[in-house]
Amino acid sequence: MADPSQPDDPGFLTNFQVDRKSLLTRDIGERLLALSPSPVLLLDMKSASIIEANPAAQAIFGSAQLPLVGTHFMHCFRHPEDGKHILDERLEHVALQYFVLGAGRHLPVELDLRRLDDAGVILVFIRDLTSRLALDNQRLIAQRNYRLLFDNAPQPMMLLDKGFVIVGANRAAAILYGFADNEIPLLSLKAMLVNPRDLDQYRVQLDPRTLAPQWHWRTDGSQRLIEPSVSTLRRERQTFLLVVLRDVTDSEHQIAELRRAEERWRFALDGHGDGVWEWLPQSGEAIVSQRFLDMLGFGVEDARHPFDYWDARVHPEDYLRMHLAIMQHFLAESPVIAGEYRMMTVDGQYRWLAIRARAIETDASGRIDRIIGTVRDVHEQRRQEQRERLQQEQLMHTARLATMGELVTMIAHEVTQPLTAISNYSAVARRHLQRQGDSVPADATHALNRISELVSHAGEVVHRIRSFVRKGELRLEPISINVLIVDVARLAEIQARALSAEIDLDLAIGLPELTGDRMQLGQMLLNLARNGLEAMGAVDGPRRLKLRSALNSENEITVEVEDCGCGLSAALAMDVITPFFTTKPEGLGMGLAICKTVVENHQGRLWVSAAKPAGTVFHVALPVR
Amino acid sequence: MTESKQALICVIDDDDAVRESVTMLLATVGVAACGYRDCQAFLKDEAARAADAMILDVRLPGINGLEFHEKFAERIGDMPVIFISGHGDIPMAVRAMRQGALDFLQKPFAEQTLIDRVNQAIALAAQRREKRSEVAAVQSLLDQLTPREREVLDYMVQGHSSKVIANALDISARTIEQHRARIMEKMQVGSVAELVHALTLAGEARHP
Repeated sequence: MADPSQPDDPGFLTNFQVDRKSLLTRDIGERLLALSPSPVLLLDMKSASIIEANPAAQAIFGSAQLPLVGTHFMHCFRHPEDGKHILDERLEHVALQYFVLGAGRHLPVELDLRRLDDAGVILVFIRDLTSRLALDNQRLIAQRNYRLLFDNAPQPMMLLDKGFVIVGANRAAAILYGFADNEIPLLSLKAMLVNPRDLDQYRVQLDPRTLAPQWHWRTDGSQRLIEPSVSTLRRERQTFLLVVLRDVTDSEHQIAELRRAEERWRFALDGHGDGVWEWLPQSGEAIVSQRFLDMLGFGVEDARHPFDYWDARVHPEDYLRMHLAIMQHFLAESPVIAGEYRMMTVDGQYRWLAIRARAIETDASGRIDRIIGTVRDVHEQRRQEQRERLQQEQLMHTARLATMGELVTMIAHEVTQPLTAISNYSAVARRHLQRQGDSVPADATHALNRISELVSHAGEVVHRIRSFVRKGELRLEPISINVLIVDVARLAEIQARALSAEIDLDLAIGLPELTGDRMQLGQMLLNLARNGLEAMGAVDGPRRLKLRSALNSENEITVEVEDCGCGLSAALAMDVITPFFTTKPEGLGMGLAICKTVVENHQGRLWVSAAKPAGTVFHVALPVR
Repeated sequence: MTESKQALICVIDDDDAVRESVTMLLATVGVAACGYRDCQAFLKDEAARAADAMILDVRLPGINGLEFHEKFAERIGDMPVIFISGHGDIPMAVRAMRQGALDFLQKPFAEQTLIDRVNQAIALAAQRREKRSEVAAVQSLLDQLTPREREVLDYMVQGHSSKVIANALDISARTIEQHRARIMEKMQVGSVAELVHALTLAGEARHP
């Protein structure tokens, strides 16, 4: 019941809600109709024509000239059959219908119908959707545009739900992953990750964010290095992740790979004995590895001294050379910095180190950002090389001395013979003249005397030169011939390798030591070995040089140098040892003559024989004293 | 020194000019020389055995002078040898002298030095020849002694009395006296001192 002491509407509405039964009266219906702020129509159930329209409804339909009351409900619709359909199907709620308006404008509305069967009327509640739909429409358009943008963006993108399931992906993403039809099916991102633990990165709540590059599977089984950028989207109370994918396989991947490779190398090199160093020329920083530090005796705390610190430890004699190498590399004149330099160790000694380095990063303007290099301790090697070079030089010197000595001996011999004859002949002449007594002109005797004096002087000069050259007298020391042979074989090995020949040693055990000049005997044996190797240059089959040592019945140590070369004819064998005899175009023919001299200096013998089936054997016999 | 026969010198040198000039030089002092270009040529020439001395070059084709001197000492006999060398050094000279060479001259040499050495060599050869004949004479006398006389002789040169010798040889002193007289007679000496001299010269003095 209505309470007159209360304001109309609320009381009425309260009653309206509470006492449904009362609503079912036409009177109340009419009152309701008049009071409702929403548009309401009252239809006659039978004729479906409009009996009443409240002011709000009047306002919606917007014109007094339209005779709303009495109009058939059907004619309120753009398509009248819609209205018929609603009534026929006794629909209670119609989500969206278009009404026909007087001015010909369409109005989107939502309808709720209440059939009051007792009263034979239908209440039609109308909700104007005009403003709402306009909003919806805008959103729709925007959505479509975004969709279009999303789909056609060149950058691969995908949309993940809270469970990291891919709920959307654009064409670029589909192509990136190699999915057919440019579509990615619903699947978990986890399935795409090579390393599933990378998924954790997506959980970090930071927006937007770029994640560290990670490897993703493609459908063909290959991998791409992806750098994802993630931002969170909230839509209709759901959270999505928009992931923009950047394929860095070909760009940053390379650098990363290089770094990784570098680290591997650093590790490998450090383990192998090479140190590693890194120099950032722009900042002057330097990093050196443990091995590097070990080589110079430094501790791990010295790993990060600036470059200048190490630079200052370079040997003054090597400094300029090293910096030239660096400059040439900076100027791109050389592909690498390479060289052997001495560096000062922690206790002030210098060690030979082999450096190899290369710029691996440059900035946009071409300046070198990073140089990475290795360092190897070549100290012992270098010293060994020096020793060997010295040994070689000594041998060369001995060889030169021997050659010169032999040459001078030859010349001396060739000169002293005629000098002797001249001296004798002039003496003969003088003696004969002296017997003639006073009739001989004084000048004739004087001339002959002068000849004798000058010859004598010339002879002295020759002897002086000879004794000068012979200064390198024998330096006698006890020698093990087998040790000497092994040394000689090692020196001849280089030449043997070049000729792909082999050197066989057949050394007798327990040979006594002999006394001699190690340098000269070594030179002699090396000469014989080289001769033998050269003689085999034209041999087709296996090239084998045999060096044998033995003790013969006359208490002489014998060494045989046997080649399998073309061999010497009997006539040649006689001449081969004489000076200036040579079969080599550039040879002086002194080699074997020197050998003979050396052997004779040791009271030994040198001779030649033919080897079987082919080749030549040089025999050396040296007495044991 | 006996100048009865002309001295003959062998010159072994492979250089024709050296050989000829040395020969001519020696001719000026009345010494005959015979040249050989190597040791083989010398060995083949039987007439060379009669030579007084030898001038030998060190550097020769085939066997060198020093080796030849060492290995053919028997063939060379007591012939004095003068080495000449164009490239002599001290060890070579030492070796030559140790092998009994008279001298080792470096070429070119002063002519007088060579002539002096050659004359020395000839004199030495003559001395050796003389001694050789004396020794041969003593030897022929010794050969006439009976074995018993030779036994007694060896005791005599030791200075032992007849009585001691008789005891040692277990025969009578009288018999020893007879032996002594026969030995002095056969050896053509008048005293034991002369006998000792002859035996020493022949190198025949020995302990019994």
